[in-house]
Amino acid sequence: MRSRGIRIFSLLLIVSFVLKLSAAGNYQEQVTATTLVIGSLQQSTVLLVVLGTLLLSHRPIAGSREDGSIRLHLTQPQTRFAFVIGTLIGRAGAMCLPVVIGCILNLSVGWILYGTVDLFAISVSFVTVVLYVFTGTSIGTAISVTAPTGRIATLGTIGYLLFGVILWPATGEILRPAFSALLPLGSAELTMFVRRLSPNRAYILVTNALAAVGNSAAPWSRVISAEAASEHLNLAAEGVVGTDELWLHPGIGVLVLLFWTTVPLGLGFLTFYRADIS
Amino acid sequence: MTAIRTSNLTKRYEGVTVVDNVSLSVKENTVYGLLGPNGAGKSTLLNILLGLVQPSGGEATVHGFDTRTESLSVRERVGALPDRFDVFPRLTGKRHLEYVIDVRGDESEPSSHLERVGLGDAADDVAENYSRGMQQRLALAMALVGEPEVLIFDEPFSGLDPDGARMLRKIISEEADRGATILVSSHLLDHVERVSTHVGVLSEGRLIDEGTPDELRSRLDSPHRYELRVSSNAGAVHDRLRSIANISRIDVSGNELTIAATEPIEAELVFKTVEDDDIRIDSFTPIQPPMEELFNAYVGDNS
Repeated sequence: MRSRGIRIFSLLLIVSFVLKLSAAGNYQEQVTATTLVIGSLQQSTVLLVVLGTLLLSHRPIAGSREDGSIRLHLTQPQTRFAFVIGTLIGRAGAMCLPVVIGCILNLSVGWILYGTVDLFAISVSFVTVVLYVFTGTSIGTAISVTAPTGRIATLGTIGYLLFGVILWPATGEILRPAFSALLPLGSAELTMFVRRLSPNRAYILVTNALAAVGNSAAPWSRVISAEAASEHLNLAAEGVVGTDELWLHPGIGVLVLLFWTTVPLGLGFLTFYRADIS
Repeated sequence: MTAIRTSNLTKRYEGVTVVDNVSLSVKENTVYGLLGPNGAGKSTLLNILLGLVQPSGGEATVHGFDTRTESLSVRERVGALPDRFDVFPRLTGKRHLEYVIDVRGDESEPSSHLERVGLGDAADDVAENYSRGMQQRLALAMALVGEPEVLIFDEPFSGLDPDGARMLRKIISEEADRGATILVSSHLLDHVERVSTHVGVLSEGRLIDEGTPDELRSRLDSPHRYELRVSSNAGAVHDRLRSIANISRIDVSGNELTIAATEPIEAELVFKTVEDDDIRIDSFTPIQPPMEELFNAYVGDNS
Protein backbone atom coordinates (compact mmCIF):
# COMPACT_ATOMS: atom_id res chain seq x y z
CA MET A 1 0.00 0.00 0.00
CA ARG A 2 3.06 2.22 -0.34
CA SER A 3 2.16 3.22 -3.87
CA ARG A 4 0.20 6.44 -4.17
CA GLY A 5 -1.73 4.95 -7.10
CA ILE A 6 -2.87 1.99 -5.00
CA ARG A 7 -3.95 4.32 -2.17
CA ILE A 8 -6.01 6.46 -4.56
CA PHE A 9 -7.49 3.32 -6.12
CA SER A 10 -8.46 1.96 -2.68
CA LEU A 11 -10.15 5.22 -1.76
CA LEU A 12 -12.12 5.35 -5.01
CA LEU A 13 -13.10 1.71 -4.60
CA ILE A 14 -14.48 2.27 -1.10
CA VAL A 15 -16.40 5.38 -2.21
CA SER A 16 -17.76 3.43 -5.17
CA PHE A 17 -18.80 0.50 -2.94
CA VAL A 18 -20.67 2.83 -0.58
CA LEU A 19 -22.47 4.65 -3.41
CA LYS A 20 -23.42 1.52 -5.35
CA LEU A 21 -24.52 -0.34 -2.22
CA SER A 22 -26.69 2.55 -1.23
CA ALA A 23 -28.13 2.83 -4.79
CA ALA A 24 -28.82 -0.92 -4.80
CA GLY A 25 -31.37 -0.29 -2.07
CA ASN A 26 -33.77 0.95 -4.79
CA TYR A 27 -34.26 -2.66 -5.85
CA GLN A 28 -34.61 -4.05 -2.33
CA GLU A 29 -38.20 -5.13 -2.82
CA GLN A 30 -37.53 -6.85 -6.13
CA VAL A 31 -34.47 -8.98 -5.38
CA THR A 32 -32.61 -10.78 -2.59
CA ALA A 33 -29.85 -9.38 -0.40
CA THR A 34 -27.36 -11.61 -2.24
CA THR A 35 -28.29 -9.99 -5.56
CA LEU A 36 -27.94 -6.53 -4.05
CA VAL A 37 -24.52 -7.27 -2.61
CA ILE A 38 -23.12 -8.97 -5.73
CA GLY A 39 -24.78 -6.40 -7.99
CA SER A 40 -23.22 -3.48 -6.15
CA LEU A 41 -19.91 -5.34 -6.19
CA GLN A 42 -20.22 -5.72 -9.96
CA GLN A 43 -21.01 -2.06 -10.54
CA SER A 44 -18.27 -0.85 -8.20
CA THR A 45 -15.55 -2.87 -9.81
CA VAL A 46 -16.38 -3.34 -13.47
CA LEU A 47 -14.67 -0.17 -14.72
CA LEU A 48 -12.60 0.80 -11.71
CA VAL A 49 -10.66 -2.48 -11.73
CA VAL A 50 -9.98 -2.16 -15.47
CA LEU A 51 -8.66 1.37 -15.03
CA GLY A 52 -6.73 0.60 -11.85
CA THR A 53 -5.06 -2.55 -13.15
CA LEU A 54 -4.14 -1.00 -16.49
CA LEU A 55 -2.72 2.12 -14.86
CA LEU A 56 -0.66 0.03 -12.46
CA SER A 57 0.59 -2.56 -14.92
CA HIS A 58 1.03 -0.98 -18.36
CA ARG A 59 4.36 0.76 -17.69
CA PRO A 60 6.67 -1.24 -15.40
CA ILE A 61 8.42 -3.40 -17.98
CA ALA A 62 8.31 -0.88 -20.85
CA GLY A 63 9.51 1.84 -18.48
CA SER A 64 12.34 -0.29 -17.14
CA ARG A 65 13.44 -1.06 -20.71
CA GLU A 66 13.48 2.65 -21.39
CA ASP A 67 15.42 3.71 -18.30
CA GLY A 68 17.73 0.66 -18.24
CA SER A 69 16.74 -0.77 -14.84
CA ILE A 70 15.64 -3.93 -16.65
CA ARG A 71 19.35 -4.70 -17.13
CA LEU A 72 19.72 -5.17 -13.39
CA HIS A 73 16.82 -7.65 -13.47
CA LEU A 74 17.78 -9.61 -16.55
CA THR A 75 21.44 -10.04 -15.63
CA GLN A 76 20.33 -11.96 -12.54
CA PRO A 77 19.87 -15.73 -12.65
CA GLN A 78 16.19 -15.67 -13.50
CA THR A 79 14.39 -16.35 -16.77
CA ARG A 80 12.51 -13.67 -18.66
CA PHE A 81 9.38 -15.76 -18.07
CA ALA A 82 9.90 -15.60 -14.30
CA PHE A 83 10.51 -11.87 -14.57
CA VAL A 84 7.25 -11.28 -16.47
CA ILE A 85 5.18 -13.59 -14.27
CA GLY A 86 6.74 -12.03 -11.16
CA THR A 87 5.74 -8.59 -12.43
CA LEU A 88 2.19 -9.81 -13.13
CA ILE A 89 1.75 -11.47 -9.74
CA GLY A 90 3.30 -8.53 -7.89
CA ARG A 91 1.04 -5.98 -9.57
CA ALA A 92 -2.10 -8.13 -9.39
CA GLY A 93 -1.37 -8.94 -5.75
CA ALA A 94 -1.02 -5.27 -4.94
CA MET A 95 -4.41 -4.63 -6.54
CA CYS A 96 -6.09 -7.65 -4.96
CA LEU A 97 -5.48 -6.45 -1.42
CA PRO A 98 -7.69 -3.32 -1.59
CA VAL A 99 -10.20 -5.13 -3.80
CA VAL A 100 -10.64 -8.00 -1.35
CA ILE A 101 -10.82 -5.63 1.62
CA GLY A 102 -13.45 -3.60 -0.29
CA CYS A 103 -15.39 -6.78 -1.07
CA ILE A 104 -15.45 -7.78 2.61
CA LEU A 105 -16.53 -4.26 3.55
CA ASN A 106 -19.23 -4.39 0.88
CA LEU A 107 -20.44 -7.76 2.16
CA SER A 108 -20.50 -6.63 5.78
CA VAL A 109 -22.41 -3.40 5.11
CA GLY A 110 -24.74 -5.17 2.64
CA TRP A 111 -25.52 -7.85 5.20
CA ILE A 112 -26.34 -5.22 7.83
CA LEU A 113 -28.51 -3.18 5.43
CA TYR A 114 -30.29 -5.88 3.47
CA GLY A 115 -30.18 -9.06 5.52
CA THR A 116 -28.64 -12.53 5.25
CA VAL A 117 -26.78 -13.40 2.06
CA ASP A 118 -25.75 -16.60 0.33
CA LEU A 119 -22.14 -16.97 1.43
CA PHE A 120 -21.31 -19.48 -1.29
CA ALA A 121 -22.40 -17.15 -4.09
CA ILE A 122 -20.62 -14.26 -2.41
CA SER A 123 -17.41 -16.28 -2.04
CA VAL A 124 -17.47 -17.29 -5.71
CA SER A 125 -18.07 -13.66 -6.67
CA PHE A 126 -14.97 -12.69 -4.66
CA VAL A 127 -12.95 -15.26 -6.60
CA THR A 128 -14.39 -13.82 -9.83
CA VAL A 129 -13.28 -10.31 -8.84
CA VAL A 130 -9.78 -11.63 -8.15
CA LEU A 131 -9.77 -13.31 -11.58
CA TYR A 132 -10.94 -10.03 -13.09
CA VAL A 133 -8.06 -8.21 -11.37
CA PHE A 134 -5.63 -10.73 -12.86
CA THR A 135 -7.24 -10.30 -16.28
CA GLY A 136 -6.81 -6.52 -16.23
CA THR A 137 -3.28 -6.77 -14.86
CA SER A 138 -2.37 -9.38 -17.44
CA ILE A 139 -3.61 -7.20 -20.30
CA GLY A 140 -1.63 -4.26 -18.90
CA THR A 141 1.46 -6.45 -18.50
CA ALA A 142 1.01 -7.72 -22.08
CA ILE A 143 1.07 -4.11 -23.30
CA SER A 144 4.07 -3.36 -21.10
CA VAL A 145 6.05 -6.38 -22.24
CA THR A 146 5.43 -5.62 -25.91
CA ALA A 147 6.03 -1.86 -25.97
CA PRO A 148 9.66 -0.77 -26.25
CA THR A 149 9.04 2.52 -24.42
CA GLY A 150 6.74 3.82 -21.72
CA ARG A 151 5.11 6.26 -24.14
CA ILE A 152 4.17 3.50 -26.58
CA ALA A 153 2.81 1.47 -23.66
CA THR A 154 0.61 4.41 -22.66
CA LEU A 155 -0.67 4.76 -26.23
CA GLY A 156 -1.38 1.03 -26.33
CA THR A 157 -3.32 1.27 -23.09
CA ILE A 158 -5.41 4.19 -24.36
CA GLY A 159 -6.08 2.20 -27.53
CA TYR A 160 -7.20 -0.81 -25.53
CA LEU A 161 -9.47 1.29 -23.28
CA LEU A 162 -11.00 2.91 -26.35
CA PHE A 163 -11.56 -0.15 -28.50
CA GLY A 164 -11.52 -2.98 -25.96
CA VAL A 165 -13.74 -1.36 -23.33
CA ILE A 166 -15.57 1.82 -24.35
CA LEU A 167 -16.34 1.07 -27.99
CA TRP A 168 -16.55 -2.70 -27.63
CA PRO A 169 -20.36 -2.86 -27.44
CA ALA A 170 -20.51 -0.94 -30.70
CA THR A 171 -18.11 -3.39 -32.32
CA GLY A 172 -20.79 -6.03 -32.65
CA GLU A 173 -23.13 -3.54 -34.29
CA ILE A 174 -20.40 -2.35 -36.64
CA LEU A 175 -19.67 -5.91 -37.65
CA ARG A 176 -23.33 -6.84 -37.93
CA PRO A 177 -23.61 -6.17 -41.70
CA ALA A 178 -20.65 -8.43 -42.24
CA PHE A 179 -22.20 -11.08 -40.00
CA SER A 180 -25.50 -10.74 -41.87
CA ALA A 181 -23.73 -11.30 -45.17
CA LEU A 182 -21.91 -14.33 -43.82
CA LEU A 183 -24.61 -15.83 -41.64
CA PRO A 184 -28.02 -14.47 -42.63
CA LEU A 185 -29.81 -16.62 -40.09
CA GLY A 186 -27.42 -16.18 -37.16
CA SER A 187 -26.21 -12.62 -37.37
CA ALA A 188 -28.13 -11.44 -34.29
CA GLU A 189 -26.68 -14.22 -32.20
CA LEU A 190 -23.18 -13.61 -33.52
CA THR A 191 -23.46 -9.89 -32.78
CA MET A 192 -24.53 -10.67 -29.24
CA PHE A 193 -21.76 -13.22 -28.85
CA VAL A 194 -19.09 -10.74 -29.99
CA ARG A 195 -20.34 -8.25 -27.42
CA ARG A 196 -19.74 -10.82 -24.71
CA LEU A 197 -16.13 -11.33 -25.65
CA SER A 198 -14.70 -8.28 -23.91
CA PRO A 199 -13.35 -8.88 -20.39
CA ASN A 200 -15.72 -6.47 -18.69
CA ARG A 201 -18.78 -7.96 -20.44
CA ALA A 202 -17.60 -11.45 -19.49
CA TYR A 203 -17.17 -10.29 -15.90
CA ILE A 204 -20.70 -8.87 -15.86
CA LEU A 205 -22.04 -12.11 -17.32
CA VAL A 206 -20.45 -14.22 -14.59
CA THR A 207 -21.42 -11.90 -11.72
CA ASN A 208 -24.98 -11.62 -13.06
CA ALA A 209 -25.23 -15.38 -12.91
CA LEU A 210 -23.91 -15.37 -9.33
CA ALA A 211 -26.39 -12.61 -8.45
CA ALA A 212 -29.13 -14.80 -9.91
CA VAL A 213 -30.27 -12.25 -12.50
CA GLY A 214 -29.82 -14.52 -15.50
CA ASN A 215 -27.26 -14.82 -18.23
CA SER A 216 -27.24 -11.29 -19.55
CA ALA A 217 -24.02 -9.38 -20.19
CA ALA A 218 -25.76 -6.10 -19.38
CA PRO A 219 -25.25 -4.56 -15.92
CA TRP A 220 -27.46 -6.19 -13.31
CA SER A 221 -29.48 -3.06 -12.51
CA ARG A 222 -30.44 -2.66 -16.15
CA VAL A 223 -31.47 -6.27 -16.31
CA ILE A 224 -33.88 -6.05 -13.39
CA SER A 225 -35.28 -2.63 -14.19
CA ALA A 226 -38.31 -2.33 -16.40
CA GLU A 227 -36.54 0.27 -18.52
CA ALA A 228 -33.78 -2.06 -19.50
CA ALA A 229 -36.26 -4.53 -20.87
CA SER A 230 -37.27 -2.07 -23.54
CA GLU A 231 -33.70 -1.35 -24.48
CA HIS A 232 -31.75 -3.44 -26.92
CA LEU A 233 -29.42 -5.11 -24.45
CA ASN A 234 -29.77 -8.73 -23.78
CA LEU A 235 -31.91 -9.06 -20.80
CA ALA A 236 -33.39 -10.44 -23.51
CA ALA A 237 -31.05 -13.29 -23.91
CA GLU A 238 -33.65 -15.70 -22.66
CA GLY A 239 -36.45 -14.30 -24.76
CA VAL A 240 -34.43 -14.03 -27.94
CA VAL A 241 -32.51 -17.24 -28.19
CA GLY A 242 -33.33 -19.35 -25.21
CA THR A 243 -31.22 -20.36 -22.25
CA ASP A 244 -30.12 -23.73 -23.43
CA GLU A 245 -27.70 -22.32 -25.98
CA LEU A 246 -24.16 -23.19 -24.93
CA TRP A 247 -22.71 -19.85 -26.01
CA LEU A 248 -25.02 -18.03 -23.60
CA HIS A 249 -23.90 -20.08 -20.62
CA PRO A 250 -22.26 -17.94 -17.89
CA GLY A 251 -19.35 -20.38 -17.88
CA ILE A 252 -18.38 -18.89 -21.24
CA GLY A 253 -17.68 -15.67 -19.30
CA VAL A 254 -15.10 -17.51 -17.20
CA LEU A 255 -13.48 -18.87 -20.35
CA VAL A 256 -13.40 -15.37 -21.87
CA LEU A 257 -11.74 -14.00 -18.74
CA LEU A 258 -9.19 -16.81 -18.80
CA PHE A 259 -8.55 -16.15 -22.50
CA TRP A 260 -7.82 -12.46 -21.87
CA THR A 261 -5.67 -13.39 -18.86
CA THR A 262 -3.43 -15.75 -20.79
CA VAL A 263 -3.44 -15.16 -24.56
CA PRO A 264 -2.41 -11.46 -24.86
CA LEU A 265 0.33 -11.94 -22.27
CA GLY A 266 1.47 -15.14 -23.98
CA LEU A 267 1.74 -13.35 -27.32
CA GLY A 268 3.47 -10.38 -25.70
CA PHE A 269 5.94 -12.69 -24.02
CA LEU A 270 6.85 -14.30 -27.33
CA THR A 271 8.07 -10.91 -28.61
CA PHE A 272 9.87 -10.15 -25.34
CA TYR A 273 11.49 -13.57 -25.02
CA ARG A 274 13.92 -13.01 -27.92
CA ALA A 275 13.99 -9.20 -27.81
CA ASP A 276 17.37 -7.47 -27.64
CA ILE A 277 17.74 -5.41 -24.49
CA SER A 278 20.34 -3.03 -25.86
CA MET B 1 40.56 -23.85 -18.89
CA THR B 2 38.65 -21.30 -20.90
CA ALA B 3 36.00 -19.39 -18.98
CA ILE B 4 34.63 -17.25 -21.81
CA ARG B 5 34.82 -18.11 -25.48
CA THR B 6 33.30 -16.50 -28.55
CA SER B 7 33.54 -17.96 -32.01
CA ASN B 8 32.87 -15.83 -35.10
CA LEU B 9 30.41 -13.87 -33.01
CA THR B 10 28.47 -11.37 -35.10
CA LYS B 11 25.69 -8.92 -34.39
CA ARG B 12 23.95 -6.83 -37.01
CA TYR B 13 21.30 -4.19 -36.41
CA GLU B 14 19.28 -3.34 -39.51
CA GLY B 15 22.17 -4.17 -41.82
CA VAL B 16 24.83 -2.44 -39.70
CA THR B 17 27.43 -4.84 -38.33
CA VAL B 18 28.18 -3.90 -34.75
CA VAL B 19 30.14 -7.02 -33.76
CA ASP B 20 32.02 -8.56 -36.65
CA ASN B 21 33.22 -12.19 -36.44
CA VAL B 22 34.78 -11.81 -33.02
CA SER B 23 36.60 -14.89 -31.74
CA LEU B 24 38.16 -14.48 -28.34
CA SER B 25 38.89 -16.63 -25.36
CA VAL B 26 39.32 -15.65 -21.74
CA LYS B 27 41.13 -18.14 -19.58
CA GLU B 28 39.95 -18.92 -16.06
CA ASN B 29 41.26 -16.67 -13.31
CA THR B 30 42.46 -13.92 -15.61
CA VAL B 31 41.44 -10.27 -15.78
CA TYR B 32 40.72 -9.54 -19.42
CA GLY B 33 40.50 -5.90 -20.42
CA LEU B 34 38.41 -5.22 -23.51
CA LEU B 35 39.62 -1.95 -24.95
CA GLY B 36 38.03 0.10 -27.66
CA PRO B 37 36.68 3.53 -28.43
CA ASN B 38 33.01 4.35 -27.95
CA GLY B 39 30.94 2.53 -30.54
CA ALA B 40 33.54 -0.22 -31.05
CA GLY B 41 30.98 -2.90 -30.11
CA LYS B 42 32.21 -3.65 -26.58
CA SER B 43 28.82 -3.30 -24.87
CA THR B 44 27.05 -5.33 -27.55
CA LEU B 45 29.61 -8.10 -27.15
CA LEU B 46 29.16 -8.14 -23.37
CA ASN B 47 25.36 -7.95 -23.72
CA ILE B 48 25.49 -11.07 -25.90
CA LEU B 49 27.50 -12.84 -23.19
CA LEU B 50 24.88 -11.81 -20.62
CA GLY B 51 21.98 -13.01 -22.78
CA LEU B 52 20.55 -9.51 -23.16
CA VAL B 53 21.19 -9.49 -26.91
CA GLN B 54 20.83 -12.35 -29.37
CA PRO B 55 23.75 -12.76 -31.79
CA SER B 56 23.13 -12.71 -35.53
CA GLY B 57 25.81 -15.34 -36.06
CA GLY B 58 28.53 -17.32 -34.35
CA GLU B 59 28.38 -18.49 -30.79
CA ALA B 60 29.43 -17.53 -27.29
CA THR B 61 29.90 -19.69 -24.24
CA VAL B 62 30.60 -19.03 -20.58
CA HIS B 63 32.07 -22.01 -18.74
CA GLY B 64 30.84 -24.11 -21.64
CA PHE B 65 27.23 -22.88 -21.47
CA ASP B 66 25.82 -21.38 -24.64
CA THR B 67 24.66 -17.81 -23.99
CA ARG B 68 21.77 -18.22 -26.41
CA THR B 69 20.30 -21.53 -25.31
CA GLU B 70 21.60 -21.82 -21.74
CA SER B 71 21.54 -18.21 -20.65
CA LEU B 72 20.13 -19.03 -17.22
CA SER B 73 23.08 -21.33 -16.49
CA VAL B 74 25.36 -18.56 -17.71
CA ARG B 75 23.82 -15.95 -15.43
CA GLU B 76 24.01 -18.33 -12.47
CA ARG B 77 27.79 -18.15 -12.86
CA VAL B 78 28.13 -14.50 -13.81
CA GLY B 79 27.96 -11.32 -11.78
CA ALA B 80 27.37 -8.38 -14.09
CA LEU B 81 27.72 -4.65 -13.94
CA PRO B 82 25.95 -3.60 -17.14
CA ASP B 83 26.39 -0.33 -18.96
CA ARG B 84 23.61 2.30 -19.13
CA PHE B 85 21.58 0.79 -16.29
CA ASP B 86 19.27 2.60 -13.92
CA VAL B 87 18.54 1.65 -10.33
CA PHE B 88 15.10 0.44 -9.25
CA PRO B 89 12.95 3.44 -8.44
CA ARG B 90 11.85 3.87 -4.82
CA LEU B 91 14.01 1.02 -3.49
CA THR B 92 16.77 1.65 -0.98
CA GLY B 93 20.31 0.45 -1.55
CA LYS B 94 19.74 -2.28 1.02
CA ARG B 95 16.58 -3.51 -0.79
CA HIS B 96 18.55 -3.74 -4.04
CA LEU B 97 20.98 -6.08 -2.33
CA GLU B 98 18.21 -8.06 -0.64
CA TYR B 99 16.62 -8.61 -4.06
CA VAL B 100 19.81 -9.99 -5.59
CA ILE B 101 20.63 -12.08 -2.51
CA ASP B 102 17.12 -13.54 -2.74
CA VAL B 103 17.33 -14.27 -6.49
CA ARG B 104 20.76 -15.87 -6.12
CA GLY B 105 19.74 -17.88 -3.06
CA ASP B 106 22.69 -16.43 -1.19
CA GLU B 107 22.82 -16.03 2.57
CA SER B 108 25.12 -13.05 2.88
CA GLU B 109 24.18 -9.82 4.62
CA PRO B 110 23.34 -6.83 2.39
CA SER B 111 25.36 -4.57 4.67
CA SER B 112 28.59 -6.51 4.04
CA HIS B 113 28.32 -5.86 0.29
CA LEU B 114 27.33 -2.23 0.73
CA GLU B 115 30.20 -1.58 3.11
CA ARG B 116 32.64 -3.19 0.71
CA VAL B 117 31.76 -0.60 -1.95
CA GLY B 118 31.61 2.29 0.51
CA LEU B 119 27.83 2.61 0.70
CA GLY B 120 27.36 1.40 4.27
CA ASP B 121 26.10 4.78 5.44
CA ALA B 122 23.67 5.15 2.53
CA ALA B 123 22.13 1.67 2.85
CA ASP B 124 18.71 2.96 3.86
CA ASP B 125 18.57 5.84 1.38
CA VAL B 126 16.45 5.53 -1.75
CA ALA B 127 18.87 4.62 -4.55
CA GLU B 128 17.12 6.94 -6.99
CA ASN B 129 18.62 9.80 -4.98
CA TYR B 130 22.18 8.42 -5.16
CA SER B 131 24.75 10.20 -7.31
CA ARG B 132 25.79 8.40 -10.50
CA GLY B 133 28.98 7.22 -8.83
CA MET B 134 27.02 5.80 -5.88
CA GLN B 135 24.65 4.02 -8.25
CA GLN B 136 27.68 2.55 -10.01
CA ARG B 137 28.99 1.32 -6.64
CA LEU B 138 25.57 -0.16 -5.84
CA ALA B 139 25.46 -2.09 -9.12
CA LEU B 140 28.99 -3.29 -8.42
CA ALA B 141 27.90 -4.56 -4.99
CA MET B 142 24.97 -6.36 -6.66
CA ALA B 143 27.35 -8.00 -9.14
CA LEU B 144 29.52 -9.39 -6.35
CA VAL B 145 26.72 -11.20 -4.49
CA GLY B 146 27.26 -14.95 -4.35
CA GLU B 147 30.93 -14.83 -5.35
CA PRO B 148 30.29 -15.55 -9.04
CA GLU B 149 32.87 -17.51 -11.02
CA VAL B 150 32.84 -14.85 -13.73
CA LEU B 151 32.47 -11.09 -13.40
CA ILE B 152 31.53 -8.99 -16.42
CA PHE B 153 31.93 -5.25 -15.94
CA ASP B 154 30.90 -2.91 -18.74
CA GLU B 155 32.54 0.51 -18.41
CA PRO B 156 32.80 0.08 -14.63
CA PHE B 157 34.94 3.18 -14.11
CA SER B 158 32.36 5.52 -15.64
CA GLY B 159 30.98 7.92 -13.09
CA LEU B 160 33.47 6.94 -10.39
CA ASP B 161 35.62 9.55 -8.69
CA PRO B 162 39.32 8.76 -8.07
CA ASP B 163 38.47 7.16 -4.72
CA GLY B 164 35.81 5.05 -6.39
CA ALA B 165 38.18 4.00 -9.17
CA ARG B 166 40.79 3.01 -6.57
CA MET B 167 38.16 1.01 -4.69
CA LEU B 168 37.10 -0.75 -7.90
CA ARG B 169 40.68 -1.66 -8.80
CA LYS B 170 41.13 -3.09 -5.29
CA ILE B 171 37.95 -5.14 -5.61
CA ILE B 172 38.99 -6.45 -9.03
CA SER B 173 42.32 -7.48 -7.53
CA GLU B 174 40.62 -9.18 -4.55
CA GLU B 175 38.16 -10.99 -6.80
CA ALA B 176 40.99 -12.18 -9.04
CA ASP B 177 42.80 -13.46 -5.95
CA ARG B 178 39.60 -15.32 -5.01
CA GLY B 179 39.82 -17.11 -8.37
CA ALA B 180 37.20 -15.24 -10.37
CA THR B 181 37.55 -14.61 -14.09
CA ILE B 182 36.94 -10.95 -14.83
CA LEU B 183 36.07 -9.31 -18.14
CA VAL B 184 36.27 -5.52 -18.02
CA SER B 185 35.41 -3.29 -20.93
CA SER B 186 36.47 0.32 -20.95
CA HIS B 187 37.64 3.14 -23.11
CA LEU B 188 39.70 4.40 -20.13
CA LEU B 189 43.03 2.82 -20.94
CA ASP B 190 44.86 3.74 -17.80
CA HIS B 191 42.41 1.88 -15.56
CA VAL B 192 42.29 -1.21 -17.77
CA GLU B 193 46.06 -1.35 -18.00
CA ARG B 194 46.38 -1.33 -14.22
CA VAL B 195 44.02 -4.23 -13.60
CA SER B 196 44.30 -6.51 -16.64
CA THR B 197 46.42 -9.57 -17.13
CA HIS B 198 45.20 -9.85 -20.73
CA VAL B 199 43.91 -7.26 -23.15
CA GLY B 200 41.83 -7.36 -26.32
CA VAL B 201 41.47 -4.40 -28.65
CA LEU B 202 38.13 -3.95 -30.36
CA SER B 203 37.61 -1.49 -33.19
CA GLU B 204 34.60 -1.14 -35.49
CA GLY B 205 33.24 -4.41 -34.18
CA ARG B 206 36.41 -6.40 -34.92
CA LEU B 207 38.88 -7.83 -32.43
CA ILE B 208 42.09 -6.55 -33.90
CA ASP B 209 44.55 -7.97 -31.36
CA GLU B 210 44.75 -9.64 -27.99
CA GLY B 211 47.41 -10.84 -25.58
CA THR B 212 49.10 -9.79 -22.37
CA PRO B 213 49.87 -6.07 -22.11
CA ASP B 214 53.58 -6.89 -22.61
CA GLU B 215 52.85 -8.96 -25.70
CA LEU B 216 50.84 -6.16 -27.19
CA ARG B 217 53.51 -3.60 -26.38
CA SER B 218 56.14 -5.77 -28.03
CA ARG B 219 54.20 -5.39 -31.28
CA LEU B 220 54.78 -1.65 -31.35
CA ASP B 221 57.30 -0.39 -33.91
CA SER B 222 59.43 0.89 -31.03
CA PRO B 223 58.55 -1.27 -28.04
CA HIS B 224 61.56 -0.35 -25.85
CA ARG B 225 61.28 2.80 -23.74
CA TYR B 226 63.70 4.52 -21.39
CA GLU B 227 63.57 7.54 -19.18
CA LEU B 228 66.79 9.52 -19.03
CA ARG B 229 67.35 12.28 -16.46
CA VAL B 230 70.36 14.55 -16.99
CA SER B 231 71.95 17.37 -14.98
CA SER B 232 71.68 19.98 -17.74
CA ASN B 233 71.57 20.79 -21.44
CA ALA B 234 68.94 18.25 -22.51
CA GLY B 235 69.03 19.72 -26.03
CA ALA B 236 72.64 18.65 -26.52
CA VAL B 237 71.88 15.22 -25.05
CA HIS B 238 69.07 14.85 -27.58
CA ASP B 239 71.50 15.49 -30.44
CA ARG B 240 74.11 13.05 -29.06
CA LEU B 241 71.55 10.26 -28.60
CA ARG B 242 70.62 10.56 -32.26
CA SER B 243 73.89 8.86 -33.11
CA ILE B 244 72.78 5.62 -31.42
CA ALA B 245 71.29 3.15 -33.84
CA ASN B 246 67.80 1.75 -33.07
CA ILE B 247 66.60 4.94 -31.35
CA SER B 248 63.50 5.97 -33.24
CA ARG B 249 62.17 8.87 -31.17
CA ILE B 250 63.28 11.15 -28.35
CA ASP B 251 60.92 13.43 -26.44
CA VAL B 252 62.41 16.18 -24.26
CA SER B 253 60.73 17.69 -21.24
CA GLY B 254 63.03 19.88 -19.11
CA ASN B 255 66.00 17.77 -18.10
CA GLU B 256 64.08 14.57 -18.73
CA LEU B 257 64.19 12.64 -22.00
CA THR B 258 61.95 9.75 -23.08
CA ILE B 259 63.59 7.44 -25.57
CA ALA B 260 61.80 5.01 -27.90
CA ALA B 261 63.91 2.29 -29.50
CA THR B 262 63.30 -0.61 -31.85
CA GLU B 263 65.85 -2.79 -29.98
CA PRO B 264 67.11 -2.79 -26.36
CA ILE B 265 69.82 -0.20 -25.60
CA GLU B 266 72.77 -0.88 -23.31
CA ALA B 267 73.01 1.61 -20.43
CA GLU B 268 76.79 1.69 -20.86
CA LEU B 269 76.42 2.92 -24.44
CA VAL B 270 74.11 5.71 -23.34
CA PHE B 271 76.46 6.83 -20.55
CA LYS B 272 79.40 6.78 -22.95
CA THR B 273 77.55 8.78 -25.58
CA VAL B 274 75.99 11.39 -23.31
CA GLU B 275 78.29 12.10 -20.38
CA ASP B 276 81.21 14.54 -20.51
CA ASP B 277 82.60 17.23 -18.19
CA ASP B 278 79.45 19.36 -18.51
CA ILE B 279 76.65 16.78 -18.69
CA ARG B 280 76.04 14.14 -16.05
CA ILE B 281 73.34 11.41 -16.13
CA ASP B 282 71.22 11.34 -12.93
CA SER B 283 69.25 8.23 -13.93
CA PHE B 284 68.57 5.92 -16.87
CA THR B 285 65.53 3.68 -16.40
CA PRO B 286 63.68 1.28 -18.71
CA ILE B 287 59.93 2.05 -18.71
CA GLN B 288 56.78 0.51 -20.22
CA PRO B 289 55.32 2.13 -23.33
CA PRO B 290 51.92 3.58 -22.38
CA MET B 291 48.94 1.48 -23.40
CA GLU B 292 47.43 4.57 -24.92
CA GLU B 293 50.11 4.61 -27.55
CA LEU B 294 49.38 1.01 -28.38
CA PHE B 295 45.69 1.74 -28.52
CA ASN B 296 46.22 4.67 -30.87
CA ALA B 297 48.45 2.54 -33.06
CA TYR B 298 45.60 0.07 -33.46
CA VAL B 299 42.54 2.20 -33.75
CA GLY B 300 44.10 5.41 -35.07
CA ASP B 301 41.72 8.29 -35.53
CA ASN B 302 38.75 6.19 -34.42
CA SER B 303 39.68 6.74 -30.81
